[in-house]
Amino acid sequence: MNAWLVSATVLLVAGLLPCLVVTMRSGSVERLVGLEVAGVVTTIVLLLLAQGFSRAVYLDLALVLALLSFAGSMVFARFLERWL
Amino acid sequence: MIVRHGIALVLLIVGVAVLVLSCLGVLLAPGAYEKLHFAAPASSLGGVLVGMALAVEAAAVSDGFKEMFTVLVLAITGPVVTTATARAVWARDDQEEAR
Repeated sequence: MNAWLVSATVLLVAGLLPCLVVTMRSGSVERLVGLEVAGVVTTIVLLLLAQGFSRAVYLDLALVLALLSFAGSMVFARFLERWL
Repeated sequence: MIVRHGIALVLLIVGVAVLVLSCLGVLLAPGAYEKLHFAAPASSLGGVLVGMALAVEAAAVSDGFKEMFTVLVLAITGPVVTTATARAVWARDDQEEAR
């Protein structure tokens, strides 16, 4: 287990878990903030896993997730701003 | 080689620390604006530091272009999303005051 995989594990436990708790237990806008940070953390975890396992295909996944996470967060933000 | 590994390791540790502290801040901060203050550094600082670590270590997987591009996407879109969310919070507060 190299440093990249250790970092990915640390981020999954100490980074993603708090975001998921916020996403499940707060008010609507706070949940959106948790979702945004969870998207960033997951993207970074995929980058670290790609380096740790030497699997270049995870990089494509990370890039797609970064773009889709941005689009999803913008849609939710607009939706919360106008209709909820 | 050892120096390069050392630099990459330091960048990685600092980047992961920034990300973890941001996430804990998001968990513990009381309101939406306060949570947003902790959410912003995750993409614009933590992600960039981890990306720099990957770039310094570079090239076990690829030439590092995709890593840097992904981190660049995160660094650019992060503040945009933060601003949009802050506008949503402000608009909702405004609507509640008007009622």
